[in-house]
Amino acid sequence: MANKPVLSSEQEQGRAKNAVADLLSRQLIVPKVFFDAHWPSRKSRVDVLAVDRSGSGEVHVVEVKRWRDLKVDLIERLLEIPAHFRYLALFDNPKNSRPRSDMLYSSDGIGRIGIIEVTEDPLGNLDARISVQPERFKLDSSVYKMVDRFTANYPANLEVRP
Amino acid sequence: MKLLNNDSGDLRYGVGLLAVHSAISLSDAISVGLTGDRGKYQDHTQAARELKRLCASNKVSDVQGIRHFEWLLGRKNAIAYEDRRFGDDSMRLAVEKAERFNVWAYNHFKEILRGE
Repeated sequence: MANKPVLSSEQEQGRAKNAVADLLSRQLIVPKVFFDAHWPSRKSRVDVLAVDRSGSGEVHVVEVKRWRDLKVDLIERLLEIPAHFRYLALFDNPKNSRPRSDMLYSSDGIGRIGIIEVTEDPLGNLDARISVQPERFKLDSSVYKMVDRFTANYPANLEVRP
Repeated sequence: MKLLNNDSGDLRYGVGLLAVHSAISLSDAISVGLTGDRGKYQDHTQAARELKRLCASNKVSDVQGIRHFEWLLGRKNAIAYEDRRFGDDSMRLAVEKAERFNVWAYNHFKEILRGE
């Protein structure tokens, strides 16, 4: 078995973000994917943002965290971020722990944060899979104006070229 | 189509057809959005010509994406009816062409396809 390399915290998180981006690229239709995206404003940041259908579709945001670094306020913040689908991706989580399920729901009942588990096999390959399916949050169509501004200002990190 | 693409094998003809028909459906959606009519074609290559015409009348000058659609339409019968071998490479290329046509369509007909 190969020795496990010692990676920095930033490298570990970067690998997890990459695995999440790969998962979203497979699940969505020609999405534009952004790492460390300033969404919904320049002052805020989400770990992974994916906009379905080449930037014209629904918005997916993911916060990627080690289980031991997960704080309640991150979940509360995720509930406030404008996105149709919101996820918490957990890595370095050997016991497959999850936040309390009631914390994942929107206060109006429309929308639930999904959980993505990022795991590593003995050869060091990462796999991201959805363990709690997200439910769509209620947003009005003004989010598409925000998306259009965002995609006009920031190049995607992953996308299919026309 | 994309999810099946990783496990080709016996499914490759099905994946190829999904690629072709997803592109035809997207072209139909653009046509319905712009004209209210899906168009009826004896020959699907007419759909690509009609899409070019719609681009011209809606001042869309970039029609490069339509070449991916034409590529897919040109192989529709071969995938569906002919005995010629349709290998994994051809299947992956068909999926890539369908995805690239999708990107072009969503970039140029965003409002129509969003239903705004």
